[in-house]
Amino acid sequence: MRSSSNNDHEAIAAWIGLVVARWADVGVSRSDQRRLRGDLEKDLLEALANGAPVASLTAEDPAAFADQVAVANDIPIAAQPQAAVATNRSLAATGLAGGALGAVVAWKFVYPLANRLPDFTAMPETAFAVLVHAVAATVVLLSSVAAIWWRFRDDKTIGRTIAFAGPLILVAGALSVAPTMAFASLVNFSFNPLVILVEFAIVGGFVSSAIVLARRLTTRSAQTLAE
Amino acid sequence: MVVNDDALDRQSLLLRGSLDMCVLVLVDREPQHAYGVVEKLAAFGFEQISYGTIYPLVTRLRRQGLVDQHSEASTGGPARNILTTTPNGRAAMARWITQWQQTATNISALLDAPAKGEAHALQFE
Repeated sequence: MRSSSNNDHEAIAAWIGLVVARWADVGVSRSDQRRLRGDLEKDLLEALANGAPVASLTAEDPAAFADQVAVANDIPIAAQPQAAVATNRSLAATGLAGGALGAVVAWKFVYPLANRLPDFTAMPETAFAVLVHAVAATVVLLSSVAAIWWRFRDDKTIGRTIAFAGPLILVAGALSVAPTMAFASLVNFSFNPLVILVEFAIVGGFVSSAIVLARRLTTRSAQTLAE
Repeated sequence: MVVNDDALDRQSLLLRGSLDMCVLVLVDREPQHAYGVVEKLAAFGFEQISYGTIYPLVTRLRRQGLVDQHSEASTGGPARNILTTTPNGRAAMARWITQWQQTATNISALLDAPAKGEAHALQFE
């Protein structure tokens, strides 16, 4: 029998933590989790105390191990929902949907709030308009990236994609102003639904391109890191 | 012994239906902890069988009432979880060994049977 180190105990505890997290994910009840955890902890610590190398005790994939132990205990496990796959199309669609939601929020809350603000500042009208548009754009941007992050949260590279997408969406949004306004001017700033749809399509095209570009930059940076 | 991945996969496949029998035999011969079973299996050449494989298997055998686990005081360490076979476990083990031996005999007979050409050649000698 050899004495096990604190590091060994920590490694065992971390591995058990992953196993228990999997049990929670697949719907094992809390009372069953506690019981299975207690049994496993006791068994692993005894094996460790008897000289088993910690690496061999924790070599198994914790998720697969957790599933096997649950099944061995006759505890049904729920099928895991498939994680969303981040393709160019799904990313762009999610970013646009989130952005559209943010635009509705800005339209319903940011602009009406700005109109109701008392005239207590000496801020010039143009500067105030820029500030209000900037707040609205921020709401749209945050909503767009939040939607991407939420839908693809299981994708390990999504943080990097969002880091690239944030500034790129802002630039794309700014670049889309000129062609959108040019088109609006051509149609005398009509509020015809078809015209509004085309204007949305122009902005959406710019934003989608920014998101796709962000994904490409993510892939390229990951390849560079791998090399 | 160096074994390639294909050979390991094949060995795992062959073991899949008989590992519970091997575990019962080892525990019946000498009551021991799950990790002791892993070590014994390795001593018989099954180094690829890990604790992660044996623990769920032993858990199933316990649930089925084929092995029992009890704590035994040990000197200078935590109480030990010792696995022992139950009467039902010993009965199952005897059945499984008979099945295994019958299957092994049949497979050996199949492997040792002469090929068709060889059989004819023997007849005409």
